[in-house]
Amino acid sequence: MQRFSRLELNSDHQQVVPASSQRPLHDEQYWIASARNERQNGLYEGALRYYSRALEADRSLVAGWVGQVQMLIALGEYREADLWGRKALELFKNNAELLAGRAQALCRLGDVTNALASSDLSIAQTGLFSYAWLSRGEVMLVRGERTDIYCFEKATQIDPDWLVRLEIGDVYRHHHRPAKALTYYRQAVERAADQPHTWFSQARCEVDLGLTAAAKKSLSRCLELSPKHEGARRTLRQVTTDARPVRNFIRRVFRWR
Amino acid sequence: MQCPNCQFHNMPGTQSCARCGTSLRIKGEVINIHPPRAGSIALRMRRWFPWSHGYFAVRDRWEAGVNVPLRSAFDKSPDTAVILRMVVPGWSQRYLGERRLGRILFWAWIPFIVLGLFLFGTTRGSMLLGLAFSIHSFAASHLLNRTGERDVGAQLRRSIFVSLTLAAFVYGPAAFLLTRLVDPVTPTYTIGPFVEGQTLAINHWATPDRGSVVLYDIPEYEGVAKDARAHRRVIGFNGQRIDRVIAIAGDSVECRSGVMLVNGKVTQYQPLMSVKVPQFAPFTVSPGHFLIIPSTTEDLIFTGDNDPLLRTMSEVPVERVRGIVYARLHPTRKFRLIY
Repeated sequence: MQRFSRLELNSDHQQVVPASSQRPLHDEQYWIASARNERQNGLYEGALRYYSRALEADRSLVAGWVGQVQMLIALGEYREADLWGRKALELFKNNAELLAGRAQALCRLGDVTNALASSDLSIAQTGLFSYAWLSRGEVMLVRGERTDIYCFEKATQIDPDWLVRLEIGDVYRHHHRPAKALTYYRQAVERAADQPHTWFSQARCEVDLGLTAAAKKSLSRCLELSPKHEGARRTLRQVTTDARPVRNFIRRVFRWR
Repeated sequence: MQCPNCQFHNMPGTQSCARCGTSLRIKGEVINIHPPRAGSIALRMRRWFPWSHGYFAVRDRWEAGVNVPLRSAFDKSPDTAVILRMVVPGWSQRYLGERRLGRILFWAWIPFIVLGLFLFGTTRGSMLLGLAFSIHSFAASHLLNRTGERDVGAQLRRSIFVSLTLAAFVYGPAAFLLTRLVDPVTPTYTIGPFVEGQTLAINHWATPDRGSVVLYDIPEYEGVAKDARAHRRVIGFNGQRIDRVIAIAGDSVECRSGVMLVNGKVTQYQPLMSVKVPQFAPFTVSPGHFLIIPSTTEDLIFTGDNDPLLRTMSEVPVERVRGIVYARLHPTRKFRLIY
């Protein structure tokens, strides 16, 4: 008899809908995870879209707002990142990561004084945030102070994830310090050798440094992992066919890309 | 109710977080969650003109003293005083205590600049001024590159920056002013005593007066005239001439037996080449004109006494006068002031 006890013979039972199916198909955590996945692949436009989706699901999700600001910075839209950071800070007052995001945007815009103020405020908040220290490191780097290394180390201690190291590398590369960037890119590659984006970032840095052979290897590895990686394909083509030593030398001297 | 920002547990029904002040009703509020985006043109412009997005970058960097070549060189010295002294090579070095180096730079620069100015407008003058500029640029770069850093690229960039600044703020404006005052002009054909290839100093700013020697475009004319042998010939006047202004607008001019009378008095100003001036019927110089008798070329051989053609070629509109010629610069052995 026991095996019939689970049969839903009563019609009332059929009308009961489980609570889980009332929820939307994808919740905010799903969109945040998707955004992070895109970000790990260097697809910042897609990541920004997913962060917006996450916020559509839950506007109080701070990670979504922080992610949007970070993605705007990654896409080179610093003015917009500053504006959006300010708007987010009106909603989440003195949020450490939003302050850090704003500091980074201001720093990239060249407004180092306000960036430092924002970074100071970010660091002063309770809790340890990897991004706050990363942003702090960038501000220190632009100010020409040597504490940038300490700040970046602190960021990696708080969050040992390879993405943090990759982003530190991006910061150094943005500020024309490819040698320092390469150290962090290599650490990222060690930790995530299966990620094509880490290899691609390392290759670009190696190209900046004129390490053509190493860049070719990195790009080949990237294409092995992701055969459709258009950026890697294009860079490899450039590295292979476009050997212009004089131009590269001038580029290096004048730090022009 | 837990605050989404600081995770503080608030009392139920609270509007905003008691600790950080964040609204606890964000979920219910209508908020735009799509960030503003830069247009493709804006992005391209920002990429092409990276300084356009941060005019305050220079200001902040200057105040912070980082990445500004001028600033980093003067951390231990009064900035403005040294920068202003860069106008003369060696002066800043002397001010900073390097008297010997300052003296060497100054005395290396002086002969080149003096000779260059003396031969202004000539090939040699340009070469000498170029050398003077190089010494000046070296003096300023040397001052800025004393930071002790070994980054060759940074030093190179700084030197280029210094050279461009000097060119833009010292030599460029000086050359502009100089060319207004002493515009070197080389006639392409011989005009009386001024032989083709010679360089003349011309002032464009001064207003010509009676007696000024001017470079001007002769009023254009084409027609039939009799030459010295009374042969009728088709003649034409055009091109540049150099001669003296005899009278200005409103002056009454008369010529009696070879003597020029301006406003009833014998004028001391004669055409540049001593020629027998043809007879003029008395007349008043038209407004906006100068009376300049073209004596440095053979134009006068086609005119006789009381010839209306003489007045046509001698009354020169103001706008055709290019400037006052006051010196012959080149060749050096023929240097002379023209008055």
